[in-house]
Amino acid sequence: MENEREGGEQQEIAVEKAQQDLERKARDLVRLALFHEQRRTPLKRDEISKKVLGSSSRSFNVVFAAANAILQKTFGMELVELHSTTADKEISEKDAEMLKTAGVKKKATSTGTKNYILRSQLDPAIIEKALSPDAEIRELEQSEHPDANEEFAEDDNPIGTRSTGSIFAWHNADQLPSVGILYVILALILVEGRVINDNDLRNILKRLQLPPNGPVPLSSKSSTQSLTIDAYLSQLTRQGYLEKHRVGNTRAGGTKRGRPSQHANAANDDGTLAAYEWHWGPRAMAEVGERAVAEFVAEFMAVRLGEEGVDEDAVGAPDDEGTRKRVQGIFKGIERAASGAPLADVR
Amino acid sequence: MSDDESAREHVEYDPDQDPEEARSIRRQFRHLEQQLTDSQDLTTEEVAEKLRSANKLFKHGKLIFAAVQAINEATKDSNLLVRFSEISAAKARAMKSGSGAFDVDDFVARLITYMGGRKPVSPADDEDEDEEESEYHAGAPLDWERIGRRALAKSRRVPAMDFIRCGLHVRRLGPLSIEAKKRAVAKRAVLEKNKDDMKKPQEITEEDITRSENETTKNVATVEKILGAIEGQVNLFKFVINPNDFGQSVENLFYLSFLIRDGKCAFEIESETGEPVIMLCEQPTQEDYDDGLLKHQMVLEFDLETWQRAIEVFDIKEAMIPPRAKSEMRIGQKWYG
Repeated sequence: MENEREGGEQQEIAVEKAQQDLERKARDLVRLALFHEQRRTPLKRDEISKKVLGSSSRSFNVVFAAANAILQKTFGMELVELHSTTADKEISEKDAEMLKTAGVKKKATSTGTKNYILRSQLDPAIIEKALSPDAEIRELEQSEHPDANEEFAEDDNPIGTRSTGSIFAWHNADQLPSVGILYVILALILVEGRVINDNDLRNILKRLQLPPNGPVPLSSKSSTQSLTIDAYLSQLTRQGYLEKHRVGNTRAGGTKRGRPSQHANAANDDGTLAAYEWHWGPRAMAEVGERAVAEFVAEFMAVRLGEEGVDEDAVGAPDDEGTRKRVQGIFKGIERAASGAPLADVR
Repeated sequence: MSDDESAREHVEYDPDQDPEEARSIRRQFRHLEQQLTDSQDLTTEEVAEKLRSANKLFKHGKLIFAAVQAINEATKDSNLLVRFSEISAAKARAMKSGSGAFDVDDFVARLITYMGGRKPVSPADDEDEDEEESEYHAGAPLDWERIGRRALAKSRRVPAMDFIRCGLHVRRLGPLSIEAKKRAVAKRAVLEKNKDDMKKPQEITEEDITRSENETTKNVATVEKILGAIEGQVNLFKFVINPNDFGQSVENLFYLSFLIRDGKCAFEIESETGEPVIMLCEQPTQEDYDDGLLKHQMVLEFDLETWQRAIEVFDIKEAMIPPRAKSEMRIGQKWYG
């Protein structure tokens, strides 16, 4: 009897220890993920195994699930695996149509990259609301910190100081302008048929006052001193938002929509410059997805600038029927422009 | 006949054309016009088809084309062309406004306007379309924050905040780092090595304290003996002050205070001279205290100035208490003198 009881107790203790061990590992993974997200570098599975799991590498799934539970409950975030982009592209237009009509779901091929990032787990409706301007909140902010601007009074860099009173104070946390630039680039790639020629992109960026050696607007609080557009593009590539391919590389390079200014100089032995083209990277697919970017563009295009009653700081489109119809029309236009597979949602 | 035909082809204007032919042409023109005017909803294809048939009409045997000679017909001809071009323009506009392809150039232009590169053209300003281009302020920096907010409203991006500075969570958050642990260990090893050279504050033991206590007792006894040798009373200052050594004077006063505390020495202010005087006396007994004898305290401020003044006033020439050798108190490993 004695032995049985002892055995039972020992079992309980063992279970409790295992539970505590799991909780500790889950917390470690949460910390590791948060830390990596600061630099926007994906967290590799190898690193997770080494730093969190240690010897019990087979417990990845359990620890991963437990970590996600903490992330969701505490931060409203989730840790997700990035998927490689090649799988999406390989579906030709015809196949896409066929799959749609046949009602077949795209096979979940092994597209996992064993790289993980954090993203928000909140409902998109909440996110949009939390980004919307609010005059009341802005007044409160200003009354609480009347000297907020004095801190940087000597430096007349306004970036990162203006608030619209939105619930998510992005102007404090992250680099709003550089994010704006990134998403416009993603939009351009999408509407040019999911790929844009390097020359074409640079020409458009120039029109937008962003020449290759020009500065990316940063706030005074930024840890980076200065950043050129070129350097920024490289950074975005490293972080997985964009991919840069040489023309003539994988499949038939070149854009799907002809642009008059396009030069498709192939890579060469005779010394001429090779051309590059830009695609979305896996991180963009996970963080925002094609549908959301199309919505962003469509709602933006539907804005009637200079019209009375239009809130300058609004982040969406006004919700009247006329606008909604316009937005839908533009959205369809983007779908056609993207050509190929239907617009992908976040994955 | 063929010569005539070819000849007629080159004739631009012939008012003498066959009236029947002219009527026929007019009829066909009217027919086409009507079709174009009535059916607003012609698709691009249908418009193209109409244009083709009009062309066929014109080319029919080249006769009719060449037969557009009378001004009448010419007028109808240009009307037709105008109608065609109007419809074509409308079709083009319809394509742009969303029922068709996405216009990237328009997208870029709108971005520039939205971010402040241009003054926005409101519908009322349509008449000023010529001025639109000139209002483009090439120098004005674009407000990318505006478009950034719109983008984030659709994104699942999480803010990358500096958690490590957040006081509340300092212990719980922060990077997991095996490297950091290694560094801490290395530091400790270095410490061990220098232990021998390290200076420790002096440790004082019981012994040291005891020794200094004995010394005080000895000195008090000496002072008592000297005071006892004097008959009657003596001026306080004359007794304690060593005119050559302030430090010794202070010590003398210190040892004297023990005698006063123990009641072996009395202190008075001389009524006649006002001088502070002391004398050795009998210690009060317990009975005396029981009868109501009270203890008094006095704080005597004795600084350099007072010492000097007293020497002057009382004309103190020599010390009554012999100076003691520099007390050698040993504390720990060092001698403090």
